[in-house]
Amino acid sequence: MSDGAERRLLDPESHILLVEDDGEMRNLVARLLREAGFRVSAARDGREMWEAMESPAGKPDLVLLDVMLPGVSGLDLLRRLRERSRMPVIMLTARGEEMDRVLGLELGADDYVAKPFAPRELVARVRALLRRAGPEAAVDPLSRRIAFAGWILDTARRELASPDGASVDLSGAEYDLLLAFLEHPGRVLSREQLLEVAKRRVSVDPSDRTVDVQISRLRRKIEPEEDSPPLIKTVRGAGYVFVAAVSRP
Amino acid sequence: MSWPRSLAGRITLLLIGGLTLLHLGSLVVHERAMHGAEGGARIERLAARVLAAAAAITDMPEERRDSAAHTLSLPGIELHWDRVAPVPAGPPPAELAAAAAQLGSMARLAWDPKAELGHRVVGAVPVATGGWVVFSAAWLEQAHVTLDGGGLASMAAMALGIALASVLIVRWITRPLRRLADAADAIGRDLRAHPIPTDGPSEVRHAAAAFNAMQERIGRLVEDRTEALAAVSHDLRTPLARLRLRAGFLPDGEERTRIEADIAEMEAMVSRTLDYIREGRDAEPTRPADLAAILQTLASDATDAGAEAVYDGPPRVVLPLRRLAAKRALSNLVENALTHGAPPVRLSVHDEGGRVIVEVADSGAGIAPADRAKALAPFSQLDASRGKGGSGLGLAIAARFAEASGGTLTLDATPSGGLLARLALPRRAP
Repeated sequence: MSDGAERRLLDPESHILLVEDDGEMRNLVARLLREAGFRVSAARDGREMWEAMESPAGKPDLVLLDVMLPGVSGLDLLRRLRERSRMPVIMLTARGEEMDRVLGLELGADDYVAKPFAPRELVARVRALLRRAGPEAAVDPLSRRIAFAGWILDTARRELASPDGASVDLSGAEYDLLLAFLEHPGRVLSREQLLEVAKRRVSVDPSDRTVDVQISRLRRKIEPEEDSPPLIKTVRGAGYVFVAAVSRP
Repeated sequence: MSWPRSLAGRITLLLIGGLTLLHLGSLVVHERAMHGAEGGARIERLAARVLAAAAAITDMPEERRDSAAHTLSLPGIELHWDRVAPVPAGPPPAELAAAAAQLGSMARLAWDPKAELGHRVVGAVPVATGGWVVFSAAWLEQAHVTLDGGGLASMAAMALGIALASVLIVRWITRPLRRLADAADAIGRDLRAHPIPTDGPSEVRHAAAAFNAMQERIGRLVEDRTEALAAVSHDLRTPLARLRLRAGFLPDGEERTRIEADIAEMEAMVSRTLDYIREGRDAEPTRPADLAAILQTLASDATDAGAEAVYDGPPRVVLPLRRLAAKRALSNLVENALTHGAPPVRLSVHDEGGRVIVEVADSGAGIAPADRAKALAPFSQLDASRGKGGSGLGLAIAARFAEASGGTLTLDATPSGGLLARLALPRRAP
């Protein structure tokens, strides 16, 4: 993957710890991540995970944790890990197991990827999380509710609630864009920056136009009525800016 | 011959028929007995009276004989005296043999059915001093059973009473049967067991008990199969995940694209099967959610995937929903419209008397009315021969969601002939 080689030049190698009991799967994911430019340690269960944490190879920058593990489950490992560290964690869950997903995010996982996943998607999620969880951006996992103009985005449940309490569905790209705005309120985000965010989800022909389309869809949901207060404003020639006050209650 | 179709109707008919026959039969027997008794009495009375009259007028002068005989007439028997007999000599007709024997060998008897009523039997007995005592009567005709108006009315009233009573009684008797039929009807639409009370007549009680046992066996069987299917689908995901990763290492090209498309199709089948099995079993709470946002997301996702889908409805429609389950169900409807119908697909939502109606309309060829029920059943594929693939579960998942949410899913045709799936959901939580 040329993409991976490029990254290797840009960043120091990030160290990823993969906890997965299925041997074949472990090898394949490790190979995928290595080809994408990461340094990978692998563990087959909780015991090996704790060993890898203490190993001379150094603390990982991110843990990829399978929920279904023999013995102590991935969720239990996550709980214990969260007792001592805020290390970024992506859960690997079975598709459609909503309870695993919600529980994992509530226990403090930063993201989840449902199996079977597209290789590109996993790599994109890992990169996004590493970027978000950079040294300056340590977010308290317990206060991951973001409030704006009466709305609340629960990043643990990936759920948006309107001022009257109704749950409002967002597509993956809309969620990512909203999160990007909420993390940079009042700052103009260029189309290029937003495209980078939207690209992770939209596979077909990502272009400048895609960003405009995605933003207009997002606005239709969070500014549904004619007289709804505008939350996202277009900055001519520059991009978009989120104008409402953002707080983390 | 159009028999009543229901058991209750047939039993009622049988009861009425039987009772009517019995009633008519007893009427005839009664009449016969009455007539026999009365007829016998008549012949004796007639003979005695005629002979007495003949004796009484023997010594009277001829001019007084006729009026004396006449005064001895009885109701139904008219007596006269005449010089000559109006009946020729000869053996009496067979019907009157009994009367002839009573009247003596000299008597003459004749029967004329065409004569005036009351004069059909005509006879004569000789008077010792000359002439004949002539009598006429109508008794043979009176023996016939005749139903007068009053009799008919009482029969009709009785029949009506019997009909009414038997309808009520038979309904009461067959109620457990109807309950059995209703329960049997409910099976299949909803695989949970609905044991029915075992009461009523003993045959029905046995049927109900057998039915309950059968329900339990079917339930267990379905449960086992479902578990097996879930286990297989579940386990398939790991090799599929590996396959997907492995395909990612293949060099870019058409082969890889095709392999990835195949994998995606298998994944869709597996996840749809799991969705179907899970629907109604998951613990997702019902909370206010914006249905319009879900439909917008689905239209956007389809558009991003290169299909043509639009949402055309109000910007906000908030109602109590299991949001993820609703999204799953609706996404299956959209998926179905895109794979089995044809784009453009139009999503809309509107209110209709306390219910919220979501419509997913495609521009394909639709489904013939006769096939629509089958299309909603799980694992059925109407166009499997056309190689469109799919698991045959898309509509079934949506139907199951509708049922679990207290709503309905119906299939219809759009004005242009495409398939119109209508999901009706209650405005308030069920």
